[in-house]
Amino acid sequence: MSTEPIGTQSEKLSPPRAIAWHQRANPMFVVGVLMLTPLILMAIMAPFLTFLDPLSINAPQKLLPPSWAHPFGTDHFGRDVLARIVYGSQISLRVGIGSTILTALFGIFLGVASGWYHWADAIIGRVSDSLMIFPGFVLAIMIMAAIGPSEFNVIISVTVLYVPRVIRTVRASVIEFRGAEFVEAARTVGAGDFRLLFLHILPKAAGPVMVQLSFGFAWAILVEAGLSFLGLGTPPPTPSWGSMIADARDFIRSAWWLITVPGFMITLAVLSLNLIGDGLRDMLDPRLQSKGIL
Amino acid sequence: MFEYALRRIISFIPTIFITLTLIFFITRMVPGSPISSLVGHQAVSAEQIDAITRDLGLDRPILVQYLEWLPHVLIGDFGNSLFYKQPIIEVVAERFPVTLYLTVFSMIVTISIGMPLGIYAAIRRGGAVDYASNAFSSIGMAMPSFWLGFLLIIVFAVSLGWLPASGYRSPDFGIWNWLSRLILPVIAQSLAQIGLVVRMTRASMIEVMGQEYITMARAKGLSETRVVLKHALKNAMTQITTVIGLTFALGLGGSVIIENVFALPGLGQLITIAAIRRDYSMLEGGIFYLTLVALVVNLIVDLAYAYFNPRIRY
Amino acid sequence: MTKPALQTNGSPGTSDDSRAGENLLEIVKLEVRFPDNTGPVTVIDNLDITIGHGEILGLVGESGCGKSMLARSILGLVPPPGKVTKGKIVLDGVDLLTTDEATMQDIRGNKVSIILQEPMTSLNPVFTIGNQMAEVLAIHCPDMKRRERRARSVEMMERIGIQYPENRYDQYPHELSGGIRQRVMIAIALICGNVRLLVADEPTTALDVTIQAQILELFVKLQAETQMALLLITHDLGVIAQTAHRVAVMYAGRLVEISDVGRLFEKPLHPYTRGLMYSLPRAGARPRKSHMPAIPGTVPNLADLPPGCPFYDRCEYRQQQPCREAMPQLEQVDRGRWVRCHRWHELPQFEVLSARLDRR
Repeated sequence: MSTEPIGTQSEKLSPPRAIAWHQRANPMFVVGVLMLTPLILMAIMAPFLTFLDPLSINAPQKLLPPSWAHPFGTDHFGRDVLARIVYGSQISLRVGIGSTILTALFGIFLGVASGWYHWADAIIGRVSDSLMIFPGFVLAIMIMAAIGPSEFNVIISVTVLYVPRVIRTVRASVIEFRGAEFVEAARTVGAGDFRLLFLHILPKAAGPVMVQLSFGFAWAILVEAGLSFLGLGTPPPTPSWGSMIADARDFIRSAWWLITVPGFMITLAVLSLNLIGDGLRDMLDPRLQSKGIL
Repeated sequence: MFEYALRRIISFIPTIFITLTLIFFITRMVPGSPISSLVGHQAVSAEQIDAITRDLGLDRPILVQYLEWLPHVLIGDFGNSLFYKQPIIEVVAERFPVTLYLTVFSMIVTISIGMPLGIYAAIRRGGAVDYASNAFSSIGMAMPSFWLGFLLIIVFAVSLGWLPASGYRSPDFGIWNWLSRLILPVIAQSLAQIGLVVRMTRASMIEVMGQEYITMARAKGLSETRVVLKHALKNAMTQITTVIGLTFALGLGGSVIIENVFALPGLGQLITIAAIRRDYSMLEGGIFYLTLVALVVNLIVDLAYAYFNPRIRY
Repeated sequence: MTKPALQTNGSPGTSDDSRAGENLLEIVKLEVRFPDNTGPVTVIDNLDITIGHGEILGLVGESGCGKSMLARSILGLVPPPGKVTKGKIVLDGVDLLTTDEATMQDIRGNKVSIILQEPMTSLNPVFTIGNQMAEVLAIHCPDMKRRERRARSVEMMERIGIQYPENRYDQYPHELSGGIRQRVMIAIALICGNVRLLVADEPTTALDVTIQAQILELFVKLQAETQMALLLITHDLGVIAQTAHRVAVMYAGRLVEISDVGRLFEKPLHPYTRGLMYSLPRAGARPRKSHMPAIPGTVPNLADLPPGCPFYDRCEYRQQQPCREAMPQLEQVDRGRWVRCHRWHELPQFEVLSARLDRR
């Protein structure tokens, strides 16, 4: 809007991509962090939160409704659902963190390369664009079918799924700033490619990449759950939230607690990460959303 | 417009080629995997494995295999399914309509709820509807669709008994028999999509509503309805069509899961079965045809984009 | 040219200049506010001004003085969350602030039109020029047939000096240059043929210099033809000198000086007006596009106005007393001349300028 009421509105809009952390923390961000923290604590403190073994089978105790001894009841093998939920958080977070780190590493490295060197762009750009052709989840299924179900393989397939987006963002930032004056200035005082990229250009892309990674983290948890639900993710008897839902499907008429609790946990984890991502984005520049960058 | 459309359609051919190539190499990423799955856990002698390997041509270099495979699949022939023992194209054709109904219906639901809600949230920004739709879309996008599917089954099929819990009947069994089994899957599939479309519609409408030409449209004496629905919406449509395309692709991916929850015999379920049984040619065929749908939708979206945005009509 | 009467006073209705019925538009004690974290910010404060029939009133001031906000208030288009909180805007005896939205829609684009600053962004990129012109006719002259609307639009473009109007009709804004787009904007504003008041909000700022002159000439010509009133908003006093009958100078949401053009340039009273004049380019030099660097400092933040005169920090004639103490009131100096300055009668003579102005 070009009719700002005299210097009050216009100052609130930060220039695109400039990191404006001076603003007050976004409420969505705060709520997201507050929701995520107990989940992380739960994963770390798992052995102290429950003394029951998530894997120990106890047939006579099967399909017990929630009680003091088993707050979330027991499953069809008589395993304590609370223990499985608590340990399941470790899987979700491990997959999330693992794939986020890999995505960040590959995304930044390949994104920088394809933004900086034209020859690299020809290959990396083409391949990553092509990977985005597949309807997201289908690609994950294909990769899992090829490399077999395991937790580490889930991390790999989530990374392959999400890396093209990060590449695209980083590449766009690099291209945007490649010819910028401050880069030219740094070059004239003798900065090499490496120094230019990592000291001068990458920090500018840091904001959007962070936003994207928090959405990617959320996505990783959803994809892991989905793959495990289909039997292509973390193999049994590991207590993944997704496979808990798959196991519970035969008992939805008799044991509702089996299916509600893990789904609720997934929702909570994904919601908190999405809120963090939304909050980060709005702190960065609210207009990014409609530009379809994030 | 015509020229642009033509160019866009021609560029479709290399995309298909790339898709096929990626499918081939990803499924064969791990050497020897098709054969190990074929024999499964049965005790098979090394000679037998060798025989099968030679039979399938798996002993030759991967590039040779690729060059032999490509001409067949380019005409849509993915060979026979190891599991179904019939041509893949037939299996796909049988199951294709189910997936198509699911995705098309959920797209219709998504657009007809998501867009109006997003527009309304944008023009009544900060109002009750805005907050409610934001909360709704945040939660909708965070819920795993398969979990939502089971919750719907628990409520509407098990408790209330209004709708069948799962399964599929073709329209030949009567419209209600057919539709009633699609209602819950479509809802489960749509919720996250609606969330996405609401948010993007809202964001792009807000951006457009702040433009000078909107002030100008008001200054001409247009009614607010006309300002929003003519001047703002057509501009926002360029971004919204892109999102709708993305949502559709996402929905096709999601249909894989939804079909498994509701036991719908569609392409997604077929792909899952093929992946679990490691029926590779089935997997390749299923994924290719599913991706093809996504590509066609993408093409339509691009053409719609050109329609809404005169700046890219050449 | 008769200088139409002017009613501008802290207390409306007491002005000896006022002659009832002669004014097309009377703005009385207008106040526009925007909510802010720290409370409402007043962007237009207690503003009175009138525009006579067929008068060209120039409104000058730097960006952020509230000029555009005034323009939008007249059309009832203050961007939310801003609001007109007090006052009246009376057009031909009707208070626009109390009329219903339907009547306002009837007036906009018909009796009162506006031309916005940025021709590049004021036309909708996804509709053809013709569509955007004919649309105005479709609402305001519903009896016109489609073909008539097209004919009228083409005719209007011709009159505005757009070449090949038939072809332009089917083109999109991005296919046209800035100058042509601004002409299209003017054509849209005038197409109904009923315009009594045209508000032009910096209509030439975004254009390059040669085009600027052409557009200004066009304004003068069209005003003479149609006898409409013109509120010409600009930050360039040079533009005013060429076109306007009367000038109002705005600073920080308030009027600081009102005068007819002749007397203003002869003897500017307010230090701010003087500053604006100093910043005019010298004869023969290339006119500056920048926003008058000659006055040091910037417009104060309205959310946090210092006590006393808002111009205090930038004024070369300031004195702690009385300037810091109290907000000066708009005082009548002469017939049709008003100034808001404690010390206007003590200021030294101002001469430097007339020499510069003549050559523009």
